[in-house]
Amino acid sequence: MSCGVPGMEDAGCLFLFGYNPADAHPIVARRILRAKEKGAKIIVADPRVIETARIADIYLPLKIGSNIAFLNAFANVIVSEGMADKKFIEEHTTGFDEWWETIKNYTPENTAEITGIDPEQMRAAARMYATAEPSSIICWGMGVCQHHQNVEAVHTCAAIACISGQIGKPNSGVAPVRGQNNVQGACDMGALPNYFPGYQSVTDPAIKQKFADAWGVPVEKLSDHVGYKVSDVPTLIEQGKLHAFYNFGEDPVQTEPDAKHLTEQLAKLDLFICQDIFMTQSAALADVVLPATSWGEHEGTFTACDRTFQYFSAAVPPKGECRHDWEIIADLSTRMGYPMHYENAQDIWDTELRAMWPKAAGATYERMQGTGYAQWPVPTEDHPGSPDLFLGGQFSTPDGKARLKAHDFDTPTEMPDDEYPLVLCTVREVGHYSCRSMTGNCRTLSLLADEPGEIHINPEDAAARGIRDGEIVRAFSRRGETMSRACVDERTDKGTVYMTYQWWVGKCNNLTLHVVDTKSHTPEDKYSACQVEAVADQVWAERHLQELYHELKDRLAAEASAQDAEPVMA
Amino acid sequence: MNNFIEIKPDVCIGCGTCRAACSVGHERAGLQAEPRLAMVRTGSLSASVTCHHCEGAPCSLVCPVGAITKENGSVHINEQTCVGCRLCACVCPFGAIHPSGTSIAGVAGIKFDTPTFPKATSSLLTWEIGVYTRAVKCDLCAYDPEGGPHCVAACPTGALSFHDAARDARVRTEKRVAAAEANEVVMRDLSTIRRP
Amino acid sequence: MEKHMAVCPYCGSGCKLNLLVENGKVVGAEPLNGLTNQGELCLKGLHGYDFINDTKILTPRIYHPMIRETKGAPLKRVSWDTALDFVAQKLTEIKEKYGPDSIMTTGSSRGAGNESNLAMQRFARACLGTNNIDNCART
Repeated sequence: MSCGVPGMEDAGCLFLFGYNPADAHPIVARRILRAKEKGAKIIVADPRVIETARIADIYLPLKIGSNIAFLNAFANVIVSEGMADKKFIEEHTTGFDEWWETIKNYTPENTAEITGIDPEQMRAAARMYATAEPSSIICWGMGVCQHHQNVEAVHTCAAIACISGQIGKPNSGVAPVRGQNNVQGACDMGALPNYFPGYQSVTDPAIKQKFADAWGVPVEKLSDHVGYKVSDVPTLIEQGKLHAFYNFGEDPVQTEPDAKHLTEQLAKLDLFICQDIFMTQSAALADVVLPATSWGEHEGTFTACDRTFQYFSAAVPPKGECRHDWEIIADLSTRMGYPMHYENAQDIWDTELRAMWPKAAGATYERMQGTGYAQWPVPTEDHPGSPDLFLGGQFSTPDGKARLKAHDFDTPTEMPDDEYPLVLCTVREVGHYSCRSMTGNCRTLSLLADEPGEIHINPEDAAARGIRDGEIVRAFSRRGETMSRACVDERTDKGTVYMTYQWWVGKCNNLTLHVVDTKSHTPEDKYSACQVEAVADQVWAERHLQELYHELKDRLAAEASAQDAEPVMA
Repeated sequence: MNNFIEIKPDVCIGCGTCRAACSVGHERAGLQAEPRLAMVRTGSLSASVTCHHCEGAPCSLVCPVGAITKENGSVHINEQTCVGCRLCACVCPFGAIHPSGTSIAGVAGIKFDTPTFPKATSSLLTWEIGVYTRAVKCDLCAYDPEGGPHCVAACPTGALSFHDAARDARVRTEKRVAAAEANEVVMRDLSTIRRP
Repeated sequence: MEKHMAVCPYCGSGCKLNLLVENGKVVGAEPLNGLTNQGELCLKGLHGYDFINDTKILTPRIYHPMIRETKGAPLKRVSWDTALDFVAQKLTEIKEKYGPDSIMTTGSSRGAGNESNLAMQRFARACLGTNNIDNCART
């Protein structure tokens, strides 16, 4: 995010595009309400009537899969109605003319059929966004990222902020609000195939030398090319390129698309390691299960979505033989002939991050005690931290200028047809988290929402299939099938159904298409063709789901029960 | 005079934090863990709907065993006295009363629930093997007069407030002052005479 | 009752809270006046703590290292020494046979924290010699 979460309250306009804060981040949704109370204009563009759409000044119910057509037309209005910030474009961007060559072809009128948006409404929204004082923020979530034109949409959102001059000042710019608690952190820390910690390129010789020196290895030992992306794991196994997978703190069998294909491929690995706190569905397939301490049992830091480093302490001691993740990794490395040793979490933070990334050098553990925090860039210990990026229009490119990039619209990969006439879009459950291994083991949260979850369907689509609210239905696609509970919901757009990805029995990822975009390799989770049908015998269906749920729980408990025996010699 | 939970649908984000607080509070007090608030979503509004503790509470009039009583401006169901006849739920004008029971799953060799009705069926019509149901509804957290109502304190957006006699008097005074000021605007000439 | 400061692990908002501990068990959570949450929490922050106590509602915690000695064999509990030597030997063999890029590693964008991600990326790069490290940022 180019701004801080607290600063969202003080913007003049918040434009939510493919972002549902009420379900993804209730505490950010609260800031949006506060912004509204303080007089901010709210624009929501989303296929569903999300909670924030109800309080929006303008709600634009765009058709799912039309993001680029929408954004291009939106950008076009800003320029063609004379609202572009010519001075900002001149001084702080490059490539406007070429960008306009593409954007000029998209108008609200000629894209109305694709986007489903009334051209006057789109024009009104573009005016509201571009002219808002003192600033506007474009917020987005997975509604941008999990489409196949995702990087293109991010380019266009950023270009819209630039050409309107709605970036480079406090509480402005772009807000990709990160979903999981430490996605920002994992990326900051170099858990990426192209970056060392702090977004320092793995192919830059000087950077490589710096890390080789710090790590005490010859520079030739560090790989000279970008690594694989985790979303490509099943494809890489299928191609015979991957033989071992060391999976740490994730449950891909639950959260990645096309679960059946992924499961088949994982079985082909020579070595599959899962380091986790729970016997997840992925851990149950592993050749090696390594028990780690959980949140609450270890200390460390997270990075919030707005680049804020915060420290968390350990509340209770480790259970059983659980060890901290970093201890396990360092021990393994030492056994493999590369000794790694750390005293504690702070030692890692100081040596591996603060010493290696100038923008984080001032983020000491001391300043993060209590409710303290450090928002990067924070280059020195007396630096206050940086809620806002790009102030004064200074961007992180070599010449300090933003590159404007435009892209033509392309349709999603798997368009609905007669056999699979609906679009499945996967979304988040407000009361559960990620693969649900944590929140599904919490008494209150599991009491409030449990299997098989819900499939939200428009009343007309439900009526056409003889589906009544609350009934169990069968959903299926070219990949597989599942059962879920219908929520007949007038907020849902016709032709699309929504399932949250937290359910193990009502698993939407049995259905999802595994296609990734060419740049970020993000699965197109927001758009898979599917069909939904009523189930005649509802009592059978209710019992069947109970049985499936308990079979699954029993299977996982049985896998975990090996740990109750005394250790054996291998 | 009745006390109840006031809802602001525009501020509600439908997150259900109120329902979680309700469930935990009652469960800790040994009552049914079922949340007493129902999340209502239509095309244009979201709100947690719960008991209004009506002055002439129809639920208490129809209860055959006297399980529903009015104390200090709010209506309470005694879960121990309730026989689970569901009359109160039928007559409640807000749909705020519903049957709830404790599943026998996990007891006596019964591993999991065996539903005998589709969940889509109204809960007023269903029954489950071995489950004794009783009526539950909002009691304004009477089991914890100091800390309750827990839903109000938990709501992260301030969409819920506790409407009691003191608050009612204050709000009504504020409204009357606002009305008086609005009248003043109509008769601007007169008010300028009075003001320096 | 002890109180231990933590950051909620359930979304990118970064809400600060206290975990309430009694007799070595986490029994509650209360909001703190953090930068983003200002004394508020949503239902996950308030009620998302008891998994730590291994409630076994959904699936059990794992407490001991386990391995399958051969592909498809049942899991067996082993000592840490056995488990890590087993992994070290297997990874070394695979690296020698197929090269370092035949091994994929992940960070964790969840409760593990930044420090363990730092350790993992160093392990992948300096020990294995690959940039095959990524995290579930796309989910």
